Amino acid sequence: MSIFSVLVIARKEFRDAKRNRWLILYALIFGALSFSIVWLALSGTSSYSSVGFGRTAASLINMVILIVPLMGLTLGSLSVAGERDKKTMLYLLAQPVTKLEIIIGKYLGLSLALIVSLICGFGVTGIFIAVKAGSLQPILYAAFIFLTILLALISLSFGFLISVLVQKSVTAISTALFVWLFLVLFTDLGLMGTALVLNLRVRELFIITLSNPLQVYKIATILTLRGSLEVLGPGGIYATRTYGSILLPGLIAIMSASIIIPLGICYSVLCRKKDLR
Amino acid sequence: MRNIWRFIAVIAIIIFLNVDPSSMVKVAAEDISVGYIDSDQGRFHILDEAIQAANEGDTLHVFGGVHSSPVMISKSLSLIGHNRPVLDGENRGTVVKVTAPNVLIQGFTIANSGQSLDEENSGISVEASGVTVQGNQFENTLFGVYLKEAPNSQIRDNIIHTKSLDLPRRGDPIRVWYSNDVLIENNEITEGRDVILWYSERLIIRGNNVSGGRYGLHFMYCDDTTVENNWLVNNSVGAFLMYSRRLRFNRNYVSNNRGPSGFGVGLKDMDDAIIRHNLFVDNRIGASLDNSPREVDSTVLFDGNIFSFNDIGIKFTPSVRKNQFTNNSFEDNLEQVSIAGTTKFLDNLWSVDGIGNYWSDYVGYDADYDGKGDIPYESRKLFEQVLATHPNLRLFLFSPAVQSIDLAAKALPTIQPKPKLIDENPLMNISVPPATSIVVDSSSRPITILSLSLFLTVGALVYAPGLLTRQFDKNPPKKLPAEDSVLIVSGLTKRFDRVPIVKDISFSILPGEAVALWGSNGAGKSTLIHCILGIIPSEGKVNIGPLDLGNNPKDFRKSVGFVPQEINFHPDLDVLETLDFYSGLRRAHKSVGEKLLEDLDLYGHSNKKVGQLSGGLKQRLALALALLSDPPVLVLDEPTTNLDSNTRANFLTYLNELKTGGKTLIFASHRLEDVMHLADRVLVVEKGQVKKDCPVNIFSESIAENAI
Amino acid sequence: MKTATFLITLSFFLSVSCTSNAGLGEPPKLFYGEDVCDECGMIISDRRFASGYTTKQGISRKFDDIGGMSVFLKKYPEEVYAIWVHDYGDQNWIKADEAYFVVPGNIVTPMGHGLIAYSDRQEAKQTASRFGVEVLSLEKVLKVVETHPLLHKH
Repeated sequence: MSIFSVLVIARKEFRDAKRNRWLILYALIFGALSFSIVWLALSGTSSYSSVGFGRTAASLINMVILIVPLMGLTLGSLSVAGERDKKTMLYLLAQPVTKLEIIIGKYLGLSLALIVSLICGFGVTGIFIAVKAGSLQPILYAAFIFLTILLALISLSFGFLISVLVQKSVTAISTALFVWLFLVLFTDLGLMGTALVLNLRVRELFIITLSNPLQVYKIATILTLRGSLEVLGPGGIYATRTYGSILLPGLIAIMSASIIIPLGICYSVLCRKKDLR
Repeated sequence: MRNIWRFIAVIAIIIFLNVDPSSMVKVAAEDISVGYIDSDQGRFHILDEAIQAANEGDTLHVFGGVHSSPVMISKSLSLIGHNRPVLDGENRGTVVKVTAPNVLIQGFTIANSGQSLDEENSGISVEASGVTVQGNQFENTLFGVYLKEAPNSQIRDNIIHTKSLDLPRRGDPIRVWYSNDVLIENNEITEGRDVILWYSERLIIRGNNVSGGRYGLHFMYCDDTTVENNWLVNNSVGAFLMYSRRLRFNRNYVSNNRGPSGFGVGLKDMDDAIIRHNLFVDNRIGASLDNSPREVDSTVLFDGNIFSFNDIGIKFTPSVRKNQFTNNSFEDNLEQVSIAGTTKFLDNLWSVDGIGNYWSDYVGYDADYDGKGDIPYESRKLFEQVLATHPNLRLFLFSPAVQSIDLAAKALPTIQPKPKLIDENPLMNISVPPATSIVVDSSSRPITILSLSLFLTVGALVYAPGLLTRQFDKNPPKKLPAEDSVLIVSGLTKRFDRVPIVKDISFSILPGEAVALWGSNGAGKSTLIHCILGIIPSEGKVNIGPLDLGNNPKDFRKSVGFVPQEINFHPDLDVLETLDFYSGLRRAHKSVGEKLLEDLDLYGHSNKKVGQLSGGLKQRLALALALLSDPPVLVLDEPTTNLDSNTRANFLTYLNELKTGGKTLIFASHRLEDVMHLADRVLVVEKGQVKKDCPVNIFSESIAENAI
Repeated sequence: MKTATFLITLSFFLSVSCTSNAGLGEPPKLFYGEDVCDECGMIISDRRFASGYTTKQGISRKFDDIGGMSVFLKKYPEEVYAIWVHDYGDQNWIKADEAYFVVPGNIVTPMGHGLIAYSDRQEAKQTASRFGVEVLSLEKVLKVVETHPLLHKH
């Protein structure tokens, strides 16, 4: 694999992304939402508003879980399928590049674009917090941004998998939307239902909850911002107690795995049988 | 290197010293030398002797020095420290024991008691009435002040920092035991275990700051006690109030009490308590009510408190009743009010004399501007009610699924639960309690710096790919010599869904030869070309000289320029950008691209978007791109299909020039004139097989024959 | 894909089946300094007085004071499988129906009930006679304890 080729493709992808109306729209929505959440939280009670960041963080987490996977999944799903639709992939494949280089380059370029738009949103919000003199430990905010970027990369990687598995970009985007709904809503609803019906113990509940990368993100973020998981009740307490100091690294490891594994599957699908044209 | 080790050693020593639990408070040498005591009986140098000599009611002025313990005070004396004299227990037993009434101890540092919990080693233990402990500093003592049957005593203005041990081995900074009418005022208490107040009535606890402990205050059987203006911050429980009557708990700031239990205040079996004008902020549970009030004819009143940003505002155990809530503000608690194990509230009043509470999640309106909502506040979130009986599901908090459940419940009245509580007169505005100005010191500078650096990061990220590519663009690729460029295809087969489209094709092409693939549409020409380029995987082997497509696809494709049938470059890039991109992939220097633009007469169009180019220009651009790495072999798929006759002629001329220049050409075509013009040899492809492989003149003859 | 789904489901059910029904005959697992008493909500940190029981449904309850447990059982009668207390001497779990209880009067338990337990009858008798009180059985303890602690003693 040549890093140079990967970078060339990444650069091109990044340049394309800057003109991508979807991405710009998402970035604006994301920025506006995080801004307004913080604005609402900080203009509530002026006398001691700054202590309420825990609550702000809760709303931010909630918003991130909704928006960021949508960004990653749709952008990712369009990446390969879109080129295929435009028939540009054919010509790209005739160049001296490997499929792996194409996938990695595209992934890098798009993730860079995602990261930039997320950081812009967070940056505006951060400046606003500073202007309103809200107290917020920068290290926590930075950690929050880091975890959110991981989440974006996870969903981008799932989006790529969809893109490779599916032929047309219309199918890809509708699959992406379905997967998004599935991750955001149905998995959790299903888990809750299962927990109620089977009367799951805390341990099983916690472990199966980790099957949803969005929940992993949520737990990791709360753990980072709060320093504990007691807000999540018995399950949270079980987790901190059982896994202690390896909990956060473990969660981050799961998130990293959720980035790499779909990309790996992507690659193996491409290598084995798939015709990318 | 040695400096580093020295540095590490110093750090290690510092850490070691900090960890050692019995480390002594260090006392400067000059303080020891100047210690003396002036009393009504003259000047002494040993505290014990001064006490021995003193009469009842005497005052002893202690000037500096370190005085060893135990200091036993069995007379009614006043001990006043100047220049902070130290009473040092040397990590044994209790430092000061008071057994006589009306003793005053003021202005000392009381340090280093023993650490036996069973013996209750303390800084000062008092077993007599009317004793005042004032303005002292407690360092490294197990217990701080221990009042045992010491009514009418006062503990004021002390700074109490007990031994930093694991919580179970820690002592209590203040313990009041069977001592009525005690005043505890303006003390600063950090990281003790509990401030314990048991079996003592009419206490006044005012203006203290208790943080970092387990129970900020722990009451048992303390009737008629007043707790006001205290800061109870960062403990496991701010105040645990149990089995007491007529408590007044006013104007306290109760914040960030989390961890196990995690209550701002916990009320258990409390009768006739009045909780007024307090701030409960950012606790796990603002107030926890358990069996309070206990007696049949008593109530507990919450008036004018603010509950903000707690995980749960107020938590009730199931049987709790007869609490009254008026003028409180429930602001953005994750769960405003919760009941454990059930969803039914018994008779608690959420509005007293027509005044309810402020609820930040109230969605009503106030049309008559009387400050009260015109429709009642009802707390009826479905998920909260599920949580009451299935606390495990709290794990899903903040999940959009949870909101969807609540939304669904709102939309479908059939699954909407009965309201948990109803406030008939909800307030529209937060009523901020009087005299609670909370200043949370915060600097916005760090977050400003962070935000600005975020934007810098963005800038860096935007430029990173460009910079990086330039970094890596140092080693130009190897070039294949033209004379080695024999193209050999052997046993090439491609199936789509088991149906062979290309069947076992083998041929070879010499350097400088131009070969046409002739066949009707659907004969498999394009597929064959895609297989040769490795765009789609296939069986068989393709080589250019030593380069094998299967083993080394990159170098192989670098040696092949491709002009596709339908040209679909990214339409929103302009010509230069397109050239730039493919130069990158083909490792061609910028000047090569520029020269090609000139050669192909494209220079004037370099800023046009590819999507806006005419067919001829597009085709020329495609050729330019194919030639970027100066490949020995060119593969063209129906290169002239989309061109008008004039451009076609030009294009063919150019291709001919390339051929003369030594390029090997292989092109698919179904135009006879193209073939005649360009090809040396023709492969006739039919149904995925090479039917005929002949020089172009024989081919033209056979065509002519067929035509006849 | 199908095999992956199958494996995930399988491992899930395995993990479920491995954990169910465990621990009914064992004392409740206590995390000192973290677990909270079911009766009073306070943190359980002293082994000597910590107690608990498991119900026939497999729920375990934990208490910081033997008296607190009795109060709780009186308030919320449950189908108890086994009650556990700690030996005051060696601080190990013992079954409450085989234990001997004493209220010496000078020992302050977290909720002030003052109850301690011994596995050894002799030891319990010695302590009891030293303070002039009697040795109690579990039955007696559950019956005698008031609805809230009363150690008012001067």
